[in-house]
Amino acid sequence: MTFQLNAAAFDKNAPILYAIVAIILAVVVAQAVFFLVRAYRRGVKIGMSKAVLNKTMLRAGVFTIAPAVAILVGIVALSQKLGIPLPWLRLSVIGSFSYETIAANVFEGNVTDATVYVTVALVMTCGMLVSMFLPLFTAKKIQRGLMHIRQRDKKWGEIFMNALFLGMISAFLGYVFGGVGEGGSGWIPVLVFLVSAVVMALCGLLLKVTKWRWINDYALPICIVAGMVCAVPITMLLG
Amino acid sequence: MKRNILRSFDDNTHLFGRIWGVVAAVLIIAFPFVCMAIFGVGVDWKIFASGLSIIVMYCAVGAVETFTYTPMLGSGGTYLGFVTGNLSNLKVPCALNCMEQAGVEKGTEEAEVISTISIAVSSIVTMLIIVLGVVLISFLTPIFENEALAPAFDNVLPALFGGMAVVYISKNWKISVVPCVLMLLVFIIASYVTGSGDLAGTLIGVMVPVGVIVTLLSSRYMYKKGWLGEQGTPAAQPELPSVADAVPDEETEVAALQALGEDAAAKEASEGKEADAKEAPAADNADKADAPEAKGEEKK
Repeated sequence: MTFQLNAAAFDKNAPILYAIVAIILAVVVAQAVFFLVRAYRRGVKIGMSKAVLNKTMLRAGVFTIAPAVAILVGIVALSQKLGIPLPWLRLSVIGSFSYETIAANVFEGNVTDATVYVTVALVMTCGMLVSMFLPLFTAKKIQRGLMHIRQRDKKWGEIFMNALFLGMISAFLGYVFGGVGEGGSGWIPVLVFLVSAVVMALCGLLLKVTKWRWINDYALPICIVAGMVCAVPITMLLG
Repeated sequence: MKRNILRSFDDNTHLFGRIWGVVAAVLIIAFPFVCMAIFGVGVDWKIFASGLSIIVMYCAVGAVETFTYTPMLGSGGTYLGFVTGNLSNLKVPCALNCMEQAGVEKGTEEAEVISTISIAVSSIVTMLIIVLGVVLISFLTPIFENEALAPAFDNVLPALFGGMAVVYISKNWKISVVPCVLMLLVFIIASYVTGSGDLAGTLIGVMVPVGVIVTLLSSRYMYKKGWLGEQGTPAAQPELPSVADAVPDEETEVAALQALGEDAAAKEASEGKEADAKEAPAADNADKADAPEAKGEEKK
């Protein structure tokens, strides 16, 4: 039995490609399950309540739905050019829609040739080499460095961690305004951002008034969905 | 003496993380080469050369992202996140949200547990949704390609960060002012200078670490000036090491003892798992100056 196919009869949706991608992703899922079980057991061992750990899993699952559907949209968008298996792999592992799209565009038009297909796949893969390997060498040192900061000055350690997250959030705040120079359509993400922010503020208010704790759990997913839904009429008005 | 040779849970996280990371990376890298073997073709070096600048640019972005996101994700979250990807648009916000909701202090072992669980669940759920989408792709394609719905999927990031910004900026408004004003100025000026939003997509990869550095520097300045409350509250007890290292991983403890040929001790350790599990939280809680997990939940 041979798996070698004829390059002339190349099919970017060949079943063998699906099989290869499924095997790779099965290993990635196995890694996720391994770390999940390990972290859960550790949480229980250090005295964290199971209710909190279970709730965290539920929150993470709910939070993921809307962004994951957006990733799926990216796969659909790339599937015309590259078939389904390659975008399925690339958007399920380290990488991003923006990078994969740029990398895919090293070749103009739809890929119908095996040589072009493997070349595009190679370009997509090579761009993520540093992201795949560098954390393996640096993660331990970075984590130990953080630990050292916290040991030396606990208050500064807390501020340091908050500053890291706020640095990222501030960059994305700027990014949202990055198209305002275009005029009307450039303001669409700004308005979506504001809708999401207002919904979050309303959730906070509602939580304060009603004391419904479930609002706290789902406030951010609600904001994401509200922002995405409102993007449609906003685009109709400004687009 | 015996305890010194045992690997802590944290050490094992790095060991397992590296093993899984290498396995996953090899498989991911193998894909194009396996395709070459299957179809009996080679690389078109002309096309590859045209993509070299993109590869170099994204390798640089990858290096910067590693140093930016690793402190946010914790050890387990980092190893997992840098395999499963979609960091800024999913994994980092998800971990951040879950840590906030669980009321854990960032940088502690509880935060490490919550971050790892959230990234693992997020990765699994993403995979499931994508598999479902791939199976139903012929049915979903017309929906996803519907022009009226396109804006919803194009605006996930603003929708995600709008809600997050309210929570984080309101809680840490003093340290937010400088980076937020700076980032707004940079992106708005760039947008007006170029007359388009195209540059924003390229800039964001660079501006995340810039934002982090600016926030750290301005926070440090404010902290030293005493604008962020009283300075210098050194931890009486080393925090993370005492929690992470004092309670070795059960399985490795047994394995290590067995490796030393101390079967009796190994058996004892194995049988004492339950007692150890009960004792550990008590010891850990004594070390923690701040609220344990359950207390954090009660706050809400």
